[in-house]
Amino acid sequence: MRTFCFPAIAMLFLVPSLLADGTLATSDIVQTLEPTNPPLVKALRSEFDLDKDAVGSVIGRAVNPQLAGTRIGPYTIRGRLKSQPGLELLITLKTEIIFFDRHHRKTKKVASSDSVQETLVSIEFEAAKP
Amino acid sequence: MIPRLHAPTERKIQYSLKASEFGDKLPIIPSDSKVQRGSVLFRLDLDIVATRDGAPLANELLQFRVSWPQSHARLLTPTNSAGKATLRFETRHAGKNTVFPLMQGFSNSAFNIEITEAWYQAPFKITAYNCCDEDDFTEPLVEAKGVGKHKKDFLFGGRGVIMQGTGLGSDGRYIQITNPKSLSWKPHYAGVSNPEAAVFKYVDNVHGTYGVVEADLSIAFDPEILPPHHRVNIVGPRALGERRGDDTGGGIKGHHFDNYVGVGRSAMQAWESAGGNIVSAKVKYLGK
Repeated sequence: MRTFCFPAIAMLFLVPSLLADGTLATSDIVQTLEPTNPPLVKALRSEFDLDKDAVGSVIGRAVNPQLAGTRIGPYTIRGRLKSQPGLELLITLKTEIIFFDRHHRKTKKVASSDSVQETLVSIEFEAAKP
Repeated sequence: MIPRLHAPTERKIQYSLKASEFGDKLPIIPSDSKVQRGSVLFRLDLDIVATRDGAPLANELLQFRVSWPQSHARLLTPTNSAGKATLRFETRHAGKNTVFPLMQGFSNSAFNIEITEAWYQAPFKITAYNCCDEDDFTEPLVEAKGVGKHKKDFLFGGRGVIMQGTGLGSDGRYIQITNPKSLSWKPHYAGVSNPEAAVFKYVDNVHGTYGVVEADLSIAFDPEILPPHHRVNIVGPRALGERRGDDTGGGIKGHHFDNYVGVGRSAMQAWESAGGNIVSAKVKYLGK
């Protein structure tokens, strides 16, 4: 296991990806998550070179038409350590996800929620499979 | 007394289509326009030359009308000393439109415009989504209401059927959640805390807002930007070809198409191998 100065960054070996998923721009999601955890995003930017596309989970229309197509974490991004550019990594941004109903009250029912808010909580990475 | 004879005054307007910022003479769909009553807004600029008895008709703010309701044509400035001006024509009618000068005394001064395709003025963001495939999941089989035994993470995981709505089972049948409002999610949305409440059913395919979605043809779109089932051609910087608006969702806003790539990990990997998302795509509207 390799751990950086930020304890929330850790190397793991079981990162789910590309299951029921949707892509988004890495720059978009990093920018969106930055205010929720500036030190971690700073570490992400300083330690990794990231590919342009990220992959997140997708909320389906059959589950919630209002939010259908919305991406939520965990987000996976291919990248490389700047200190070790030859090693391809799969980097996962784990988020805390809070859904709100139409009265902006927290809800655990994704299907009846009206909006979603995410906070970056950790970054994990593993060696990418070829 | 000898009557004075006047030759009739002949007023004329000549039209020619101006090339747009896309380098051809197709209309554009302005960036700030929205779909209304199932139609996009087409805009074309035309150069006109107005003459009276062969001489330039200068400094005139001529008025025009168009053969279809909700269509407009107006000069951006009065004619200059050479009788020239730019006429901006806007319509929501795909097909034949005719522009006429509103004032009387103009002969042979109608202009027919046939509209079939147009360029979206704004570039599009193109992303992709897939449908989950049970073969990509790993957890043991569990019994589920309505569909029998399937992999636990395929049905109940945060990237499975209960989040995406539909998935393809290992038996080749599509499975859909029927009662998502009954489910409560665990922290971090790794899955639901009450899987026993979930009821699934078999469906014939993956359904979008407007019917079945087809891989590498269907896109999810914002209905303010494209009418349902209308077609577009994504031409660059990486050409994807023709796509059809079959799906929508609150998460797809503005000039953004979400391209349905098909089932499973392999479909998403193929998208990424081909170049992945497009940040600024040039898109041609093709109509229904």
